[in-house]
Amino acid sequence: MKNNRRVKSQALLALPMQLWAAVFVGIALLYIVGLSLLGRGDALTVTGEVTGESYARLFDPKYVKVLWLSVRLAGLTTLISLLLGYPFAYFMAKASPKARLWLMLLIIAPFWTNALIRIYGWKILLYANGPINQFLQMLGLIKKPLKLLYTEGAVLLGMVYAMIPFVILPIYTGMERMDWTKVEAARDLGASPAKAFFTVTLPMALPSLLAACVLTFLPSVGLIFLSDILGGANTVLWGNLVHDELLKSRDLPFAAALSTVLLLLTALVIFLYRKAGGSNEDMVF
Amino acid sequence: MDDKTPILTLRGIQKRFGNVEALGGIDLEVMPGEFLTLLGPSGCGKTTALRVIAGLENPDEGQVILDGQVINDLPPEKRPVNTVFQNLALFPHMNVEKNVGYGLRIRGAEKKEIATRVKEALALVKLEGVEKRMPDQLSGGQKQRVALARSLVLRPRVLLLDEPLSALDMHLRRHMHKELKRMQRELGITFLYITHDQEEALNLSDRIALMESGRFVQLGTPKELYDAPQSRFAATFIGQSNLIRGVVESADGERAVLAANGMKLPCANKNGLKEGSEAALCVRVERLYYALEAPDGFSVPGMVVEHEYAGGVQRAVIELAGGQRLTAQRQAENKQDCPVGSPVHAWWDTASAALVPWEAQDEK
Repeated sequence: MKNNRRVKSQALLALPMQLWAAVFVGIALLYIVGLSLLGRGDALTVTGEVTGESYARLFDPKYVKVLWLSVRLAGLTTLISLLLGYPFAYFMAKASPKARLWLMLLIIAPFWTNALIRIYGWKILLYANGPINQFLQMLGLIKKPLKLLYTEGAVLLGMVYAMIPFVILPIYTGMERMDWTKVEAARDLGASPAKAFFTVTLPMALPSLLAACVLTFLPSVGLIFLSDILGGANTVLWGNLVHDELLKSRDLPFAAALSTVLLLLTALVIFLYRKAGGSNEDMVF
Repeated sequence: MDDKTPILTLRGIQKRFGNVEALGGIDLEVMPGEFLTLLGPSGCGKTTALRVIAGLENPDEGQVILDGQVINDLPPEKRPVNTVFQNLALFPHMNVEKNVGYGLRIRGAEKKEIATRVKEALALVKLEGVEKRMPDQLSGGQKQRVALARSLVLRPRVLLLDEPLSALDMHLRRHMHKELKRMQRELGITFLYITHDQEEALNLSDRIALMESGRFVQLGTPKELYDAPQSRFAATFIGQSNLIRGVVESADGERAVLAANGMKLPCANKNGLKEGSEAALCVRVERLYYALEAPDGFSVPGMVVEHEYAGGVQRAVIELAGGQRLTAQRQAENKQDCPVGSPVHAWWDTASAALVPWEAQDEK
């Protein structure tokens, strides 16, 4: 009885939050899905007729290719961020409190400037006559400037740069919470440092690794300005498609259909995350 | 193996953490099949000593010798000793069976052998039927047994136990004391046990090494430590004692007389204290007797100022003429009633009460 009442009062307390989510997230999303099912009118308008036309257009190989590129780049971003971020988080957790503060600052400090400015910074570095090429030429390693900018690699670099804090922070939090005597127990029971890592440290870190993957992969799929600035016309991602359809072609239903695809992809990833045993708690940092 | 050869020897082990001295040069010989306890207050360095033996901590000075071999340079995984950690450190992502079999799997033992030995180990700790459960589905006592089985399955030369029972309630702890003794008897494995609980140490141990501030202050059987404490710390840390502070007035071989608060108290002088030295007489509460009438022989007059019943025993606080207060404990079925305010005579066996030096000590 008492328990029941508690559950009820908790639900009541959560109500404003849920109302907020329903109005500003739920209704907005439904609106987009609704738009995607209507016919195209002039400029940014729709006609009243219900049609699946926009979805039919998605199967154009042109769009399928963009989707594949977006997913592939987001996947690579996640993988590279994980490979670079895990050791960083590991050493940060093992570092002295003072060193930890400085390392944390290294991750946080870039957030103090605008992301757009930071990406332009990368652009300058990557120019044909930019510092990197000049430096390599000075060393005599290359004769002609390398084409660094406007490549898939440049976009990938930018994405890893932008996303790596979202890998480091959840993994670091997971390691902070981890009970290291379990690793000592593994050593005590006969495991070498490497074996202890693969049989105890890593499996115990799995929830935070999964959370890091989701937190990296999902935003990566939808990034727009990064591919615009560093990839130019060569690297069109799904987010760019939505942007262009909306602001250049002014095709509201098709832009909505493209967005819905992204929505479904997000839902799928979160579904898989939950299926693998992930919880919302590990996403908090 | 010869019973006189120690299985484990510590020689001059020193360890500092920054400016803090954790171990100030300890020497210890552990005999095969022995149940030896490191007893001391928290922060006395007993856990550090255990970690040095396990290889989880490197000593700054000194040698760890196991079966005649110096093992200082061996990493923990190469040492034939295993630890039961204070927080048990069960692997949360493995079920009971996998936890217990971990060490064998790591060593690459055959599947069949692992299965048999895990089964044996679980039978030994009387934990059958929960093989497939995860650690967070077990009770405190069950986790305890899994941790024990996980270490014992490897048949270590010495099993190191770091306050493994501290998370259990009193009732379960008493039960586990018996169980630990049984397992040790059945396996004949040497146990090196750590605790801050003097009662636990007295119950379990063949020998106790009493520690204070990174050093051993006394090493002996529980009876030796209880009956013949060599220091004020030993007298107060183990058992409940009355300490009567005074000056040794005369010392003659095994006997001495302590002058305290205007009284002359005859006592045994096992620690060989010299005439004129500051000392304290340690009288255990259950060995301080009192009655309305004076007994034959030695006694001191006093008055009952507090009295309480505590189940099977009754406790009285007796104030002596000089203002010294002593606590006495006796069986509750004792007929004579000595309510508060009664003038009584108090006495003790002058041959058994121990005289300890009153050395400088940090007042807590």
